[in-house]
Amino acid sequence: MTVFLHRLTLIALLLGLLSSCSGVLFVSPYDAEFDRGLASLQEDTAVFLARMRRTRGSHDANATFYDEAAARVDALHMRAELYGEKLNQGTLANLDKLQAAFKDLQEAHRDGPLTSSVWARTMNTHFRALLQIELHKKHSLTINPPEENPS
Amino acid sequence: MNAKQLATDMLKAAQSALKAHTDDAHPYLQMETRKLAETAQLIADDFAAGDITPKQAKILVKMQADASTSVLTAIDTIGRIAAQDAINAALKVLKTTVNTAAGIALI
Repeated sequence: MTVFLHRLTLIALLLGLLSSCSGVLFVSPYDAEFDRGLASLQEDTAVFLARMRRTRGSHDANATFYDEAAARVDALHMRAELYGEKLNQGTLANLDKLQAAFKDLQEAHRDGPLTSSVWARTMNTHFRALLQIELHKKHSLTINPPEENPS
Repeated sequence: MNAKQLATDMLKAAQSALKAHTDDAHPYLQMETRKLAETAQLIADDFAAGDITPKQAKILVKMQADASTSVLTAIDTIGRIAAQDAINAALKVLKTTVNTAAGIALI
């Protein structure tokens, strides 16, 4: 009887282990809405900086861009938080850096027109860091299709 | 059920999942390293040409440092996604093999 109980316990433990190991989730799943919002903000930023470079536009005449950009980064941050801070820590950390980059850009604009191409290059590095994460989350869907992913 | 074959199949599945991510991550890191170096040169050139004020140059250097950290954060996150996919791909093989051997959807 004792041997039987031991075997039963072992089988139960093994099944429990296998069931719990049916899938792991270290990073939140791909969010197409977030990806689109990010790509749209990148495009608008690139257009804005190209215009500033060509027109030598002043900060005061273009201050609304910074207000809108800050609000859009906040909205993306809020959406990324929906999956939990731990599962989306990389994206959230990079969104914080993107927000800081917009503030730095605004401070620089207050000091003079943004006529150099380095402003767009620097902002694009921030955007690419975020878009790369989304790209790999999207790859994940191909490697482990949704019905196979843990919920 | 052949345990040795199962281990080989699980390893193959994990390696394939990892490769799908590393094949993209490597060129990304190479490109960013090159772009950061080019941008540093551009800052120096544009400052010398008067297209960037001294204050703007200081801000740009800070922005470049932050951007470099963002790239490293992205690489770290891609590593986590790759690890997740590798483990899940291996577990999928395990699940299929165990269920086939058992004759029912055991796990």
